[in-house]
Amino acid sequence: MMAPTVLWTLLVLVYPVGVTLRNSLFNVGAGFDPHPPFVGLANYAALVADPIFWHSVRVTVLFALGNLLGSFGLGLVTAMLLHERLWGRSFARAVLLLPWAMPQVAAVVVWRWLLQVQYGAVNYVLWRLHLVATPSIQWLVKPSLGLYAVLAATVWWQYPIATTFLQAGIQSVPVDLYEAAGIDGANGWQRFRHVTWPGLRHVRNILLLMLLFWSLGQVIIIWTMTAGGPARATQTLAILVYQRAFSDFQFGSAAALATIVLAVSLSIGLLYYRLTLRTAQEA
Amino acid sequence: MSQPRPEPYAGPRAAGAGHRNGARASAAAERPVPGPPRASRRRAGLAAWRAARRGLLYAVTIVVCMVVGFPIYWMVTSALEPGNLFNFPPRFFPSHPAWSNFTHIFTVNPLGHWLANSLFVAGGTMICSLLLAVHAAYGLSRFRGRAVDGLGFLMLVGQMIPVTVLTIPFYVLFRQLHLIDTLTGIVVATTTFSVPMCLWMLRGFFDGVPRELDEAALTDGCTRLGALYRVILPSALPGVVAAAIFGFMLGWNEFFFASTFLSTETKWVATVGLVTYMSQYFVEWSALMATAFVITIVPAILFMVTQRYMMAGITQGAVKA
Repeated sequence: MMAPTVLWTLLVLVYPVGVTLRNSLFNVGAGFDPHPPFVGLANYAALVADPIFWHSVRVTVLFALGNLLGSFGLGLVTAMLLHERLWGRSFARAVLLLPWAMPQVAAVVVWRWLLQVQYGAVNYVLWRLHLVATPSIQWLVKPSLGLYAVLAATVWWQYPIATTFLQAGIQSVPVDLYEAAGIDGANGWQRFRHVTWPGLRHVRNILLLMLLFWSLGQVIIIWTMTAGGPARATQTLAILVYQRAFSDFQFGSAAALATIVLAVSLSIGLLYYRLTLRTAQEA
Repeated sequence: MSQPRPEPYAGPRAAGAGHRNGARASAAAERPVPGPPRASRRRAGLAAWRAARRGLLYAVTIVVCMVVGFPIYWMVTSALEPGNLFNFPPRFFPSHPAWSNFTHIFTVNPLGHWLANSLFVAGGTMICSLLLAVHAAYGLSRFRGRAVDGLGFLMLVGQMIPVTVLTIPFYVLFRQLHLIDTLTGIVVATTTFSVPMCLWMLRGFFDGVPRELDEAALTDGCTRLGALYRVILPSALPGVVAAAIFGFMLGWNEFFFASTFLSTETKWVATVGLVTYMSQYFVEWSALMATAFVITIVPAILFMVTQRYMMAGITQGAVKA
């Protein structure tokens, strides 16, 4: 019954990964030479010596941190708001979840328009609120601002998933715990700190790992918004892999880079698997 | 199944129930402790505090919704602005909605063609990922063992590989299979990424169908597959629909493989067309916003219709082993 899926997985997942591992050991150029010269670990050695690689690592870490903090924070706030019995809650829920339903490229088009230098709404609003001195901030041109612009779009698109996870988590916290906390005279913050937050532990860990995965794998928003620029400011590892292959035509180097990214993903995957498995066994 | 798994979001009614619990909890929390003589004054203070708290909650909710909803509002109003949107200050309310923008975008670009291609890719991805995921998910839900766990883990990892990492080997593979510059190739590539998530979603929904139903079907003479098609799938129909829509949305959103593998302009999908349109030297922002709106409306409606099942599926799929 599972044979078709297993075969499919072998074809589209295991074989490509195999090709990647193999290519990473050869000097594969643009021509797809069927017998490229074997270079051993030279591709990896070149990467480790390459400042662009280390810059990319740094950008990836910053991007992941920003996405984690932003999506988790906004997700937590919105999940707690949606948990309250407020009038018009299902409408609010629809509004709050809608960004995720947009195609990422459509979200990027909207954000590029919002952040447009001369006529963008963001610059205008910031200027009118006297938060900035001039209404023409070059969000997508200045290297120091590129990552923030990309993060804004990414978090905006991504956080509804966090909302959903956390809302499910909040709903699963046993009600008697709140009652007990109430009897003990806990205030709102204490109830959050000592009941809600610990009760979210499992969902929270899973969500953070998923967000980490999605940050590592995020390419559509970054690519269409800045293509790794300005001046490599948003060049994460996943973007660098693509550029090494399809702009520089260094397929060997790209494969080595891809292998490194795969290894990182795999180790986080193992962590995730242990986490979910342990909870399943505890039950 | 008594594990303390978070209750998946099961629609407004269930959320309301969960919420009533929360309300009860806070009522209990704010009930004045009996005994102290200042109880009545404290009760009045509490009522005021509760009203203030509700007012604050409303205010925060409205502000958050406005900030988060603004980009979407801005897309819609900008799509209706006549001309090039080069207004300073920006016009926050459209004065003369230019509906003609929506016909203009179909003449300036082969948008109809691109949308049809997107529909093909999305529909193809939906069908392929369902065909592959339904059987595997049933297997994962009903059987245990090393092989089953192995496949589960493989699927999980597959879901987490960045798209760009697979672009190169797919390029090599598709050259051999003559799938470069074909929409079928894009379906194959996208299915790789949608199968894992569909599988996890479906497995969660299948787990919710009692095993007694399988056993009843088997004793009535059904084969395993017969039990799956005739009993399990109908019982888990909302989940199957949610997984199908998820596959559709992923296919509709597909950009990376399409932009790398499709060179003929008439074979482009809508996302690739949109990005190319955006990258032109002279950007027509209002037409661009109208195009973005047209591309968004399809998945947005599908998502709104199925959101409670889809979000429940994604949550429980990810949280469970």
